[in-house]
Formats: sequence, C-alpha cells, structure tokens
Amino acid sequence: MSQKFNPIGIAWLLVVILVSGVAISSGGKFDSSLMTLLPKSEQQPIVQAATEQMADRFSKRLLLLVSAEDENKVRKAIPLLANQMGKLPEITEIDWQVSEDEIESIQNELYPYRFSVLDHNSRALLLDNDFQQIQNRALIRLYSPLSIGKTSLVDDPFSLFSELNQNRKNELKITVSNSLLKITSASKPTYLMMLTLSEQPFSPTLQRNILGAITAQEAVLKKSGVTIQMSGMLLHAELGARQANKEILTIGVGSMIGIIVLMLMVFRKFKPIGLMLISILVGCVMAASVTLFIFGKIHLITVAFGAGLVGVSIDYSLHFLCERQVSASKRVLQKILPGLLLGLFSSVAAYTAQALSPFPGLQQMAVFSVVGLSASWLTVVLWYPFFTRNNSIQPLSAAKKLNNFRNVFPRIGENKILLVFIFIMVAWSLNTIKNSESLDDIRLLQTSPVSLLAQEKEVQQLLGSSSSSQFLLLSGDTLEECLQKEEDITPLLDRLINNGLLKGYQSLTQHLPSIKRQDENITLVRQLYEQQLTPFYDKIHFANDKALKALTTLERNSHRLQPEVWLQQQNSEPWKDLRVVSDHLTATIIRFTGDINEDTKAALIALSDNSDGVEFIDQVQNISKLMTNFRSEITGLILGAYFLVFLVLLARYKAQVWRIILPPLLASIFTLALLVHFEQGLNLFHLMALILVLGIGLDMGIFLSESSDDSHTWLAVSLSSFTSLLAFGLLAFSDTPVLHHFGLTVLIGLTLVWLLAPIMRENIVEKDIDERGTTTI
Amino acid sequence: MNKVLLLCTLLLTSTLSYGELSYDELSKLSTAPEYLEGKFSQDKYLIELDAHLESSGQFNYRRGKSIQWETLEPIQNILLMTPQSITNSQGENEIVSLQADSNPAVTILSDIFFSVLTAEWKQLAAYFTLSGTVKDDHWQVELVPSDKAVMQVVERVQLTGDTLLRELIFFEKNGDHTTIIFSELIQ
Repeated sequence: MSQKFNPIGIAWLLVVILVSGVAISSGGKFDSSLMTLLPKSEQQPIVQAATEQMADRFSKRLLLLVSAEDENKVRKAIPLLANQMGKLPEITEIDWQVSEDEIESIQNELYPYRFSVLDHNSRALLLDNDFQQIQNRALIRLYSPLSIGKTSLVDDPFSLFSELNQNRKNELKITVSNSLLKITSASKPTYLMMLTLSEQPFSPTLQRNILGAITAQEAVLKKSGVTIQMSGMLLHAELGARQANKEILTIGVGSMIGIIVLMLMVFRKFKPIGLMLISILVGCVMAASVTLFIFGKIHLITVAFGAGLVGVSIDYSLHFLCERQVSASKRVLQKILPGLLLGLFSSVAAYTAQALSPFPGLQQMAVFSVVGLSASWLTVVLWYPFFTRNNSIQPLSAAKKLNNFRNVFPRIGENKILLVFIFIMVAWSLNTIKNSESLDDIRLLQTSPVSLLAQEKEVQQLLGSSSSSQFLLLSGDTLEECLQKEEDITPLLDRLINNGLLKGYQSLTQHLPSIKRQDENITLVRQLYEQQLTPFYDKIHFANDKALKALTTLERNSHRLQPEVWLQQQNSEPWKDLRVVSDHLTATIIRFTGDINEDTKAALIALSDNSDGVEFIDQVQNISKLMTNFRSEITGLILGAYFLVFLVLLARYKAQVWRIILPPLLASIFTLALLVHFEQGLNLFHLMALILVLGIGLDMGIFLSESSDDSHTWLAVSLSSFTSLLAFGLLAFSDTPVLHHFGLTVLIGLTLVWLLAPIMRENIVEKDIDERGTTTI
Repeated sequence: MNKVLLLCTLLLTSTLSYGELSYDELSKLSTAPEYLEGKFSQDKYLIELDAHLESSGQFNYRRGKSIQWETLEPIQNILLMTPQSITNSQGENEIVSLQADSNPAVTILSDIFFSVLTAEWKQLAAYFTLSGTVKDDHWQVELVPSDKAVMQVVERVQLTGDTLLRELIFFEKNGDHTTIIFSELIQ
C-alpha cells in the first residue's frame, strides 16, 4: 500500500495489451518450410517454384501397395479397399483402376502426330540414314505372329505410331492387368492404389481419419492373407505429431510438475509461481507479436528455439523474488538493478549479433529473443515491486542449505590440484573439439524412425519411382527454349546411363519434343517415304497407286504437336509437373530414377556447369549446406558478441572478470568435448543450445558478483539453472533428433556451469580482503 | 498384344482326352514337355489388302526359358521370347528388342506365355473363357478373351488338335485373321 503502481508500469501494461491485441486480431501465421530460412538472394524464384512443385507432388500423395500370395485374393481386396477409402471426405482422388478403353483412347491422342513425334529408336535409325532397317522392321512386323499394335499400310506403313507406343517408357514399374494397376517388380502379386489428399497432411483429424480407416481395413484383409504397405508424407507427419504429443505429455508435463514442486518447496507459496508465469507470458506474447509485425509469419523453428529465452528470462524473476525475501520492497531494485541490466545487456548483445546475419531464420530468432527478453525484463522491473509490495521479509531456508552445499566445494584459488585438473580437462577438450567433425546432415531434421523409412524405401524401390529432391532444372524464356535445351542435354544423360552412372531419367521431351525437333522428324519421315515406300509395297505386292495415297496422308498429317494441345491431352497428365511456370519464367525438370551416388552427382554438376541455363538442384545438399552456413554464422556471431560482452564486463569487474567468464566458458568447452564424445559430431542444434547455456551462465556470474556471492542470489541462480534443466534438459530423452541434441547440450552445459560457479568463487573471507587489495586498483 | 502364339505353343503340349472340356480338366490332362520343336506354316489375312501373306518356318521351346520362332520364308527372322524380353533378329542384326522391365506389354505377354507353358491353366483362365467340342480323336476349342486388355486385340482364338495342338486361328478385332498350322512336332 505504501507503493503505488508506477506510471511507467501502467504505460507498459497498455503497450502489452495494445501490441498483443493487434497481433491476435491479425491472426498468427506459422511457417514450417525450411526453404524460407534460406537467404532470399540465394534462391531464384524459379528454383523455389520447382522445389515446391516437386515437394507438393510427394506430400499430398499416399501410396498403398496391396499384396498377397494369392492373386485372386488381392484382386478382390482392391475394390473393397477403394470403396472404403472413397467414403472419406479427406481423400479427393483414388487411382486404382484404368479401363482398357481409356488406355486406348489415351494412346490414340498422339496418332495424328505420328510423323512429328517419333520414338527414340526410329529417330536414331532415320538420322543414320538407315532407312532399309526401318523397312525390314515393318516387314517383320507384318509377318510376325506377334503383331503388336495397329497397322495400317496406307496411314502408317512403317508403323511409326506402334513403335512410339511400344517404346514409351513407363516411369513406374506398373502395368495394367485386367484394369488394375499391377506392380511388375514384386515377388508376389502386388497392386497399387494411389490416394490424393484434400490438403497437406498436417491436420491431426485428417491423419486420424485416413490412417484409422486403413488400419481397420488392414485388420480385415489380414485374415485373408492380404497385406498393405504404405508410403507418403502423411505417415511421417502423423508419426511426428504422435511422437511430439507423447513427448509433450511425458517430458513437458514432467518438467512442468518438477518446476512447480521445486518452486513450492523453496517459496512455500503459489504467488511467486504466478509472478514468474506473468513475466514469461508477457515475454512470449510480445516476442511473437513483434515478430509477426516484422516478418508476417513466425517460423516454427523460431518458436522452438525462441522458447529457450524462457530459461533466460526466468533469471530476472527469480533474482528479484529471492532478493525480495531478504530486502524491503523499495531497496530490492536498488540492489539488483545493475546486475539485471548487465544480464539483459549480455543476452541482448548476443542475440542482436544474430540479427546481423543474412539468414532470415537467424534474424527472426534474434528479434524474437531480444523482444521477449526485454519484455520479461521490463515486466519484472516495472510490475514486480507493485505485486510484491506487501510481502514480508523472510529469508528462505533453502538458501541456507544450498549455501552450505556450495561451501563444500573446493576453490580454485586455494586448491592447486583442482587447477591442474582443470588445465588438463581444458587441454583434452580443446583437442577433442579440434579433431571433431561437424555434422550438418539433413538426417538431423529427420524425425521418423528407421522402420518407417525402410518401408518407404521398399515401396519406392518396387515402384521404381524417382527422387523428388534431386533433379535438373532447365530454365529459359519460353517452353520451346527449355525443350531445345533438354534435347541438347539428354544425349549426355544417355551416355551416363550407358556408363552405368544413371539408372534412368524422365524428361518432358520424351513426350513433347520441341517444335524444332518435330520439324526435323517430319523431314526425316518424308525422306523415308521417298526412298522406301515403293520397294516396301512391291515386296508385299501392294498396289503401287497406294503409294500416292500414303504420301498424301503424310502431308495431311504433318502437324506439330503444340504444347498447348498436348497439355489438354490426357496423356500429358503424368508429365505435366515436369514443367514449371512461375510469373513469366519457364523451366522444365528432368527427374532421375533411383538413388544418385556421389559420382553421378559430380557428373551431373559438371554437366550443368557446362550448359547455360541448366542447374542441378539437390535439396538434400542445399539443406545440409544451409545448416553448415547457419552453424558457422552462429559461431562467428556468438564469439563476436561475447567478446563485446567481455569488454563491458572487463570495464566493470576489472581483473575479477574471469570469475564471471570462466564458468560458462569452461562449461561450454567441456560440453562440446563431451558431445563430440557421445554424439557423432557437432551440429547446429548443439550450438543453439550453447547460447542458452552461455546466457544463463553469464547471468549467474554477474548476479553473484553484484551481490558479493550472497546466499539468496546463489539460490536464485541455482533455481534458474534447475528450471532450465527441467524445461530443456529433459529434452535429451526425446526421440526427435533436433530436440534431443538441444536437450542434451543444455543438460550437460547447465550442470557444468552450476558446478563450476562455486569453484571460481573468491577465497574465504580473510584472504578475500587481501586479494582484493592486491588485484584491484 | 497377341498372346495367341504364346497360348498356342503352350497348347501344343497339352494332351487331351475325351470328356468335359474345362480348364480344370485341361490342367489334369496336360503335361508340359521340357522341350518341343516342329515346323509351322502361317497364313495372315489382311482385310485392308484383301490379301493373304504366307510364311513358314520352324520353332522350338524350352519350358520356362525360351521360345524361338524362326520364319524362313519369305523373309528371314528369328523371334526369341524369354520371360525377360522379346527380341527380333535378322542374321546378326538385332532389329527390335523389348525388355520386360521397361515395357509392360512384354511383361504381360511373357507372363501369360510362360505360365501357360508350365501348364498353369489357372493363369490362362484369368484371360480367356473356354468352350469346345470333342469328336472322335479330335477336339476344337474356342477361347474368348475375358481380360479387357486382351479383348482390345483378340476377338477370339480357335484351336484344333488331337494329342497335340495342330492348328490355331487367331481372329483380330479389325477383321484380320492369322492361321498357323503345325507339323513334324518332336517332343
């Protein structure tokens, strides 16, 4: 009652309400695309459009392979399954049967273009002037008991159309067997069913409904020996969600209960917990709102790591609340404000440095963290005095106990063995880190278990489908230009196939040749007719006046297959997405079959380097490279920022500065060395977690120094470490790699900081005075 | 997509006796020899030309491994079918080669063919319905495709034989028909 809510505090309240209100009304938008973390300048719009198109193709599809030993049982199961799937509103399309009439009509769409669109073999023979061979081929076809495809001696005497159909390669190892889609490479009868989802597979309801229905059917079908294998993003998304839910329940709830119990044990009241929550909440809300204003949407990674600031911001609350137990309301801030200011400064400096990086992802995290920390800090400084005005002074028994515990620790100033031991540890650690390897592998972002990935791989292999993350992108002003480029490139790819470096590829020109090439083809066919038509007709005793008729047909049917026409045709359906259109830019994609090894990759990169407008896109590589860049950026910026912080601390603490700097610094070095030991290598997420360790560690040193190692300050910083350990350290037990790396780092790092801090304290009081006199001037 | 040849070659090996003609019956009676060879003469009627294209030659097959169909007159050509591929060659020259894994049509063809050769009548039942008459030592069977893909090409197939298949007539949808007569069969 003696203290009123100060006007600046009221102003801060209004700011919080206003900012969060505006943010909530504008609606939060979340972003989870890794590509948005890439600096804009490095990503051409057409490349982005292409990668998104390829990813989208994969993410909305769910492939089911239904198989059994008994052919008839599978065949019976398929329509039943399709019928059940058709009942789900979340599935917009089910592909499982093709009528043979449909196949024929699709094939015949290209009949009018039989002279301009030629198969690879026929064209090669024509280019070689090996017209005789084509005539032989036609004769053999005529006399063969196996005459595949239709033959009309006038309309297409050399069966160019049949050759085209026969040689048209199927991307997938699928054949139509009695209207069903049969997998040709499977060891037992296996059929394909392809589901197209109504939306991206991230909605929990959609995941539950679809997978629930499939599982139910699976159980029924199992009785007759029919099994289902699946492949699709949906499975990964569902598993990721399930895993996250489970972990939130176990780890999340576990740490929450731990923190509440800990606080109750120390403060024996609920009020401090409420106050801490308020400052954390204000911090998070303000951070999210301001990030939304600046960036338009928040990346999920920002939220995940931004939440790490909770661990730092709780420092301020705890420091205030612990001090309040031993000081009068008015005096608390006077005592702790310098420490709080320095603490905020060190953290803000570190995060601001990140904002200077060219990575949008890092900038976002920096803004989120700086705003969040500052907001929490302001809340503590401006609101806490009012909320705690009536609290009584009552030293905490926990502080005494913890202080006794601390006194057991040896001090570095009086224990030479300890000093030597630390030196050895530092030497070992630095050596380990020096010899370590960095790991910027995309697998870090992979959250799915091995079994699911194995099933996925098996399905992909049976289908012979291609990778969606590695492809060639050919860009140009017009589609015709891209197609011509493709035609220049594909002989080189054929050479790779012959050398065994490549299994196969799918390109648009296999189905839609450039107009230039179609012109060439027609000229070649004309030459063929001029030389071979009469001899051919003579051999089969076909009246020679028909030759004129055949020539007329050729002239009448020498249209080019225009891209617009082709796109309207049904046969273009499976290949349409090899074309990318973004604004006024055009590009085409060449996809590859099977896995691409390092040699092939090198060959493809060399190939694209030598050709203008051709680029080898490797998403796996891009993301790994992105993570490498991120990691080195972060390392550099953090080192710079902490050097700055060191200078400021040096100005204040002079020669005693090492007592503040050393615990987090040594802890970081030891942690890194231990991580190298326990994990395969250091990665981005270890370093992100170290920022948190450094932040809390520096705060600890600053607060302790400011309060001259007061026992309640020791309690405050210890509690802060414990809460962070509970909140983040427990993530070490997560099955999600990213969270595990983050958690383990916090677990080891914070424990070490907390253990090292007492060791670095000044010697016992008598010596204390002495030392101060000699070291500080 | 002519499964006809495949089909008939297989039927060459089947020994039929009197009684009700069904796939079940056939599978009980037929034994597929490991090896069979013989001569053939073929008459292909093309409705467009209103003419008969005659040819003749020899053939052999090894069960489950290969079928070689060699036309000697009027052109020379060897058609070699394996479960993996169909290859047409003329002397040393390979004219057309279709690989099963890149060409689904080939897969179906060899699929049917070889399953029939090994007397898997059940497989055949998936593609055709059968009706027939038996008279004295001779039988005549008519196969009508039940498979829609086969139906696109074949209207019906007529088979005549005694202990072995002797004649096959293959009626195409467009009105063409091919007659193949076998002789000098050696098991």
